[in-house]
Formats: sequence, C-alpha cells, structure tokens
Amino acid sequence: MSASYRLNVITPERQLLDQEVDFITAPGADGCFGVLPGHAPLVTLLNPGELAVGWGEKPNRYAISGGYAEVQPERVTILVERAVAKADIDLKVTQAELEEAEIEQAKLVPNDPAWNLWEKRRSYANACLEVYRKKE
Amino acid sequence: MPNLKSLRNRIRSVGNTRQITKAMKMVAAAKLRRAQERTQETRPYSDGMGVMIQSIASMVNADSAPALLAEPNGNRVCIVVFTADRGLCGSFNSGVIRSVRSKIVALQNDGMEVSLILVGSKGRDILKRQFGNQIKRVHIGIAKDLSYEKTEREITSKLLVEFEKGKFDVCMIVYNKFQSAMTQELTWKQIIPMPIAEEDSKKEEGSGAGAPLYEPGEEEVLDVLLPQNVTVQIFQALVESEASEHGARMTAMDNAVRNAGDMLRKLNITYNRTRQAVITTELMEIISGSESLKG
Repeated sequence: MSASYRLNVITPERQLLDQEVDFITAPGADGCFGVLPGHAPLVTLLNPGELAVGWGEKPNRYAISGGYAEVQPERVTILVERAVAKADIDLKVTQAELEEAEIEQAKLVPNDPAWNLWEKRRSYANACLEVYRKKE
Repeated sequence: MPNLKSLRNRIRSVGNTRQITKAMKMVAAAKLRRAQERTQETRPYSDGMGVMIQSIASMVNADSAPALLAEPNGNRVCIVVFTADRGLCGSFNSGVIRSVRSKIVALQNDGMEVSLILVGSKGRDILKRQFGNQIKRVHIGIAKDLSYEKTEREITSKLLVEFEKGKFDVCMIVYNKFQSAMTQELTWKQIIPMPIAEEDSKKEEGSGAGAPLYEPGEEEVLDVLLPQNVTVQIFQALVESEASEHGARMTAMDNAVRNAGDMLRKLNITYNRTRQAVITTELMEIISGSESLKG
C-alpha cells in the first residue's frame, strides 16, 4: 500500500488543491474524521469547518464551507462551495461578512430560502475565523 | 461618376467603423481569455458532481427517489434561456432564440405548458413579442461579476422554491457551450429532474472497490447534492455562455474589420481614379484653350 494518496479540493470557481498527501482531517457531518492511505470507500457530507492536510503539529489548514467528500483508497475528492487557505484569510473581510450575514438573518424567518443562503455565508465566515485564530 | 467630396466622406466613415470594430475585437479577445480560463476552472466541479450523483442515484430505488430525481409527472415545462446582454456577436443570440422558438412550438404541440426564464436582455427583447405572457422572470446583468453564490441567490433559490410549490414539473436549460473562439455548441440540458444515465452507473459499480459507505445516509446525501447540482449546472451554463459570447463577438468583429478593410481599399481606388479623371479633364481644357489662342 502506498504511503500517500491524491487529494483534490475543488470549488465551483477553481481547483484549490491537487496534490499527494499522507493524512487529512475533515469536518464530516457526523463528526470530524481522518483519512489515511487505503481508506475504505466513503461518501460523506461536510460541515463548514477546518480541513487540515498533513501529519504532525503543523498541518496546512484550510477553511471550507459545507459540501461533501468522496473517499477512495487512492484518492480523496472534496467538493465544497467555498474554500480558502489559512494564509489567505482576510480578517476584516471575513468579519464584515459575518456581521452582514447576522444582520440580514435577523430580518428573516429561520428556514426561509433566503435565510438559508445567509446561514451558509455565516457558517462559512465563522469557519474562516475559527481557522484564522488557530495557533500553528 | 460619384463626386470627390462624397467619396471622401464615405472613406472617412468606413475608416471609423473599422477602428471601432477593431477596438471591440481587442476587448472581446481580452475578455475571452479570462472567460475561457473560467470555463476550465468550473468543469472539474461539475464533472465531479455529475459522477457522484450518478453513482448514488443508481442505488436509490425508483419509488422512494426524491422529487428532483424521480420521473416527472406533469406537463409543465420551464425553460431557462441563456443569451447575452449585448448584441454585435454574430449569430450567438439568434441561434439560441431560433432553437427555443421551435422547441416551444414542438412542446406545445405535444400538449405541454411552457414557461420561460430568460437570462440576458437580448433574449427578452426578441422573445417577449411572441411569448410575452409565458415569461416568468428576466435576469439582466448577471454575467457582470459572476460568482457561484450570486447564481445561487438570484436564480437557483427561486427556481427551487417554485419547483417545490409545484409551479412546473420539468426544467430545461439552453445555452451556448464554449468550444473555441470560432465555434459554440448549442446545448439543451434537462436539469430538473436530473436524468440518470443507465449505462454509466453500471460501469461504476463494476470498477469500484465495493460499494462506498454513505454518511449520514444515501438519501440525506442525495437531498443535499441534488439542489446543489441545479446551481452547479446553471452556473456552468452561465460561464460557458459568457465565454461563447466573447468568442462569437471576437469572430464577428474580426470579420467586420476585414470587410471594412476591403471596402476601404475599393473606395480608395475609386477615389484616386476619379481624382485622376478630374485632373486629366482640367489639363485637356487648359491645353485646348492655349492651342486655340495660338491659332
């Protein structure tokens, strides 16, 4: 069994990652999970949160929105609506986005379609902040 | 023989036209490059989505399939038409519109009820004359700072709500798929309900290392995936359509520049001939005048 597998992180607007990795952890809908090479086939929904790539104390961190992941023994494909590397997170922009989403949500009824759209933005902004604040 | 002054005017105006078309061609070329990159960037996502849906869909049994996947039971069709907001791009808009027109007639002959959602003002301008009361909504200016989120907010969320409320049973999109700057392929796609390709799903099962595990469950995954897929398909159509528009405009303007050049050359020849003729006539008059004085 090989010591690494191919990781693809794709958003509708671009391909964020396409590289060989040995370990990732991702925020699954039923809790965080890690993937080593040779993982059993799995399809799971993802919650907004942190995607960590690599072993050890200093993985590469990414913030992702909700989406889903397809795990195969030799490759993992993560399809999310938005994703950003930790280094590229802009604190001011993200905070503004979070505030805007909260204000807009307050005007609407929960589970209204428009509310759901803002909820997506809010949770993504939240995930970005969470990742941004993490120490290395 | 045309007089010199009117010829000069025509030469000037054709020259101006050539400059304008040349500028438009350059602008279109620059925009095309960006739009083309974009089509390439969006394809992996929609392809990945397609593969995933097909493989799950083949496992869900037909009776319990969600509405976005099940066989349609009704005769109301909603067509989303993608045209440009601006003209001067060859047969880009007219090709789409011609196809939509014949499709609507064919569907109505089959007893279907057709409604339209138009993206781009050119489609509205022409289709409103014939099908004015069937137009549900028009989206204009959406191609400007296009993003996935904007697509979802402006188009898909409304579309899905209407589908849930049972305003239509089938949704199709029609757009120009980008192939190269010279050619676009007119594409019809059914997006609601999502059609399932039988053969593909069988192949997947054969080659896969056992059936994958679904978390939280197949149906839950599908419930999230299907609405997202509608957005992805529409976003993809927007991106492709935009790239096609710039490609078509570039080609059209290129032709226009060349035609203007040809015309300019012909006009210049006529102008020079005329000028020469005038000079010759004047000379003749002077010579014959002086000859008659001598005598």
